[in-house]
Amino acid sequence: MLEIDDLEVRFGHVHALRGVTLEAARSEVLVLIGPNGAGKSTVLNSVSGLCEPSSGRVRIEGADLTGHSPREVVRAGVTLVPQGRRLFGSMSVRENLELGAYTHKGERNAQAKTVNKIARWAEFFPEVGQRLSTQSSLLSGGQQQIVAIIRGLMSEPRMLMMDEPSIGLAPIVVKRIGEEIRRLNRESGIGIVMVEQNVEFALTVADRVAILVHGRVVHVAPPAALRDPALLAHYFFGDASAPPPTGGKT
Amino acid sequence: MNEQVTVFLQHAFNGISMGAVYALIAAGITLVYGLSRIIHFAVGELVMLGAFIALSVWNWSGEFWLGLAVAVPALALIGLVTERAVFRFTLREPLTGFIVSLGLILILQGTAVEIWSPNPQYSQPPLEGSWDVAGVLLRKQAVVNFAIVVAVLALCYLVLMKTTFGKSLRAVSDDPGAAALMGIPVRTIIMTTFVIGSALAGIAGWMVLTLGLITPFVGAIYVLRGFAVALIGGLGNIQGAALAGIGLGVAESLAAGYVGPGWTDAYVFGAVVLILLWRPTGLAGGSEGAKL
Amino acid sequence: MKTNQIILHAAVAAALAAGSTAVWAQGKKGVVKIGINETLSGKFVAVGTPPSVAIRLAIHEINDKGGFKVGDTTYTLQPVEVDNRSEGPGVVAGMTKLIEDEKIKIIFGPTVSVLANQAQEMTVPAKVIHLSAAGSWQSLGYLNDPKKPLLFGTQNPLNALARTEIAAVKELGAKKVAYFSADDDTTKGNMGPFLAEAKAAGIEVTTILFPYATADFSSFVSRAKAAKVDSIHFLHPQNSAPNVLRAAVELQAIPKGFSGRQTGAAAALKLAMGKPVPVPYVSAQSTPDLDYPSTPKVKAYAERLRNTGIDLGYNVTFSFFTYDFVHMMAAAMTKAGTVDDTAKIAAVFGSMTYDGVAGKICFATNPRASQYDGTLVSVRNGKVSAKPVPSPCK
Ligand SMILES: Nc1ncnc2c1ncn2[C@@H]1O[C@H](COP(=O)(O)OP(=O)(O)O)[C@@H](O)[C@H]1O
Ligand SMILES: [Mg+2]
Repeated sequence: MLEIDDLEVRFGHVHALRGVTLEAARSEVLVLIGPNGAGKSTVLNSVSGLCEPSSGRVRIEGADLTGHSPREVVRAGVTLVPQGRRLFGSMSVRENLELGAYTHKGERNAQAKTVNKIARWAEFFPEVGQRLSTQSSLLSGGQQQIVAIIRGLMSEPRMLMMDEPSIGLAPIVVKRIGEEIRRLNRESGIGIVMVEQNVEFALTVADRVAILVHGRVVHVAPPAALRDPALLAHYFFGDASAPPPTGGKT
Repeated sequence: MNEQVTVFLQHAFNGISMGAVYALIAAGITLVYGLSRIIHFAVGELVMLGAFIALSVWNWSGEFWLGLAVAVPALALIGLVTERAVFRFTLREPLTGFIVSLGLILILQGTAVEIWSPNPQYSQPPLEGSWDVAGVLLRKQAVVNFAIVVAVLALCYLVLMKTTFGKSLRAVSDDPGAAALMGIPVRTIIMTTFVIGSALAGIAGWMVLTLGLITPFVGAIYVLRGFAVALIGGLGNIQGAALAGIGLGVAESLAAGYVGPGWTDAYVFGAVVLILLWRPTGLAGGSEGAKL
Repeated sequence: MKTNQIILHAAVAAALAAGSTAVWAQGKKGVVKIGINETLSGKFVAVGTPPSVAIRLAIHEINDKGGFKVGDTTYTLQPVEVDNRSEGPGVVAGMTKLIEDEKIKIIFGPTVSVLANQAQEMTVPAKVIHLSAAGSWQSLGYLNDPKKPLLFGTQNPLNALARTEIAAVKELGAKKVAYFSADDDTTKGNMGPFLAEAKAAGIEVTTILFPYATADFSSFVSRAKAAKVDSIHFLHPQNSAPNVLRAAVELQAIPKGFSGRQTGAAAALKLAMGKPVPVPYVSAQSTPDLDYPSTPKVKAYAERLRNTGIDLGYNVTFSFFTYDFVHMMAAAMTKAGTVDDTAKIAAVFGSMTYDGVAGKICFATNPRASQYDGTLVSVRNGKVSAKPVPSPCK
């Protein structure tokens, strides 16, 4: 459903993406990993319209949305849960969720639908459901991450992109979020594209893992093929342009 | 009633006319700064334009209230034009926006001098006299101004808190990037706050006219106080602006009534500095502004 | 600002064109240049315009009559005007032009005190006869200074003004008055003489000074009311007088009424869109009033001023700071028999009495300030009456 084709992004003289090509289907959880500054967030931001690629294409269900506004991307069915959660801190959980459904404003029964959706997710995540009236900045990190994810889901995306949802969370919360992400994919049929630094977490959640180094996708494989520390060390700390080591544990 | 109490209440009440003006200007500043982070210093000149437009319409039509009815949309239009022509290009560099607004001060003053001359213009609003409430004399125009401010700011508050538009506006104030990801048209919302802020300045201008005397340079009196009130009230906080505005008006009036009146400015800004040292986000709490 | 200047220049052109049609007497002819350094744009444009227009009007009238004789030469006057833009550097540049380039010996202005102080630093060493209404020339002692014998103040001395003001307070029958004025140097210079005159007249004074840019006077008026005053006496800025008056009426603070210096009758009459103020009102004026003339001469002068077509606004009476003195200066030159010996001209000018529009005009010796008729303009029940307070000149 999502095709990224030879994407290049520059910030001044920083060449953040140097020809990224990737595909993601609704049926899978695709996880992007890679060292800090590799360009992972930039990939998601380019898809969602927060930054303008200098060349290359982004297609959603075949439609070209390269360089379109975040609003059009959300309407095309792809929503980003940004790095750092970015909740509207002065507003209540409920208001945050209502704003998640902003693109449905003006549709028939939009308000009633929003209320229903909030009620449904509140049931699904009771720890958030009990705090709908709480100011969002007062929630714990884990609760905030869940609110950020639900807020993303309020737009009824066919694909949800998440930028480092595990960051700063306790391991038990990370595990819970991983389960929910897989459940969303399997039960609700929402495609997931996720960026992660936490490789362990990435490998348990992903159907497919793409490794991004220096603005390039250097490797795409199922998680099982990446349970080799030497291989990961090569991509994360070594010379990414050299061929990867083949087999054998060190 | 005890005479001293009557005098105190009289002084306190005397402050609400100016307080009402401060509150309106501060509400506009709070919205514009909260969303664009632009220190729009020309807001004093918008107030001045509102006053002159209202005066011209009043002189032309003989209808005092028509001045208000025309000044508000006229200023809203000016807000729209300045945003489209200038400020939208400075959103990524709010400092540039500030400098541009300083230039705008000169342009607007110059324009007003050309159209209305630099001479002071009088107005004697038709609503004269006062109501006697237990010895305290409530000047009728002051009461009306106060009522208008309460109504307008209550409306603003309701729109901000209850409507989708208001919520999306607050979302942009909190985090414009995240707001964009929700599909909120951030630029349009920012433009709208310029329109609303200017319209509020238009009402404030009409109110300044009711006080009696205007010149093309009258804006300077209001802009510093408007910003002081916006800061004390907490940026992005309409109730805060309303309370702090009326509070400042009353404080100034008490200072003028009891202490050395020549020093009211010093007292007022001394208090502002102390409050901001103590509560950097204002007495009522507010956002630290958007990061665009 | 620009519009004002254009209007002014047009008026000058018209005046000069009219002057050139005059029939000239045979014999030797000469021209005396009169310098004008005024605030014709910028912050104080409303102050500088009336004195400047009045100088041009007087020059036009003198030239129209064929000029004036000094010995066997007939002289006409030529105005040379510089706009100082209400700023110090503009004053200096203007004086440099008038004194050094144009070699002018008689200069008027600026009227605004701070600018006039700066201006006299250049005219004194150049031995130029310099006239200004600036109050600071009196309060700083320049007009008493033997080293500055060519400076002439064209406003009544402060104590004469104060006497007229106290006459206004007495006219109201007030025993306890609140003295309202902006908290600035002008007020400080004027308050002393007022307090002294009040004391001599047995009137108790509460001073209430407000910030210059005050818009709402309610609190200051309430302060006066709490002090239980009979009336308010207002000094300046005159623009604020109607607001103070209205607040005082609405807050029922002035049982005996309202008086003010130079506040005119308009404020009282227009208080509520044409409805006259419901308390007695007296304006103490250091000059005759142009809207309510107290003599036929004043009436005719008001007419001539109106015919210039220039709206002089609220400060129209500032034209008395220059108008009669241009005529008086021409008379002084005739009497002194010279147009360039400034010491000689000044000696005659400073000791003569001239019968002008503003009554009998002469200079006091210490300070060298002009004395002319003041006026009390009273408004009671919407009826205006003016009565002159004659100058002490013989
Ligand atoms: N808005 C921006 N302006 C300038 N440089 C940026 C910006 N965003 C990202 N970069 C740069 O682009 C590169 C990739 O950043 P990012 O995509 O955030 O990496 P990752 O998410 O993989 O840590 C980094 O060198 C970063 O400094
Ligand atoms: Mg990142």
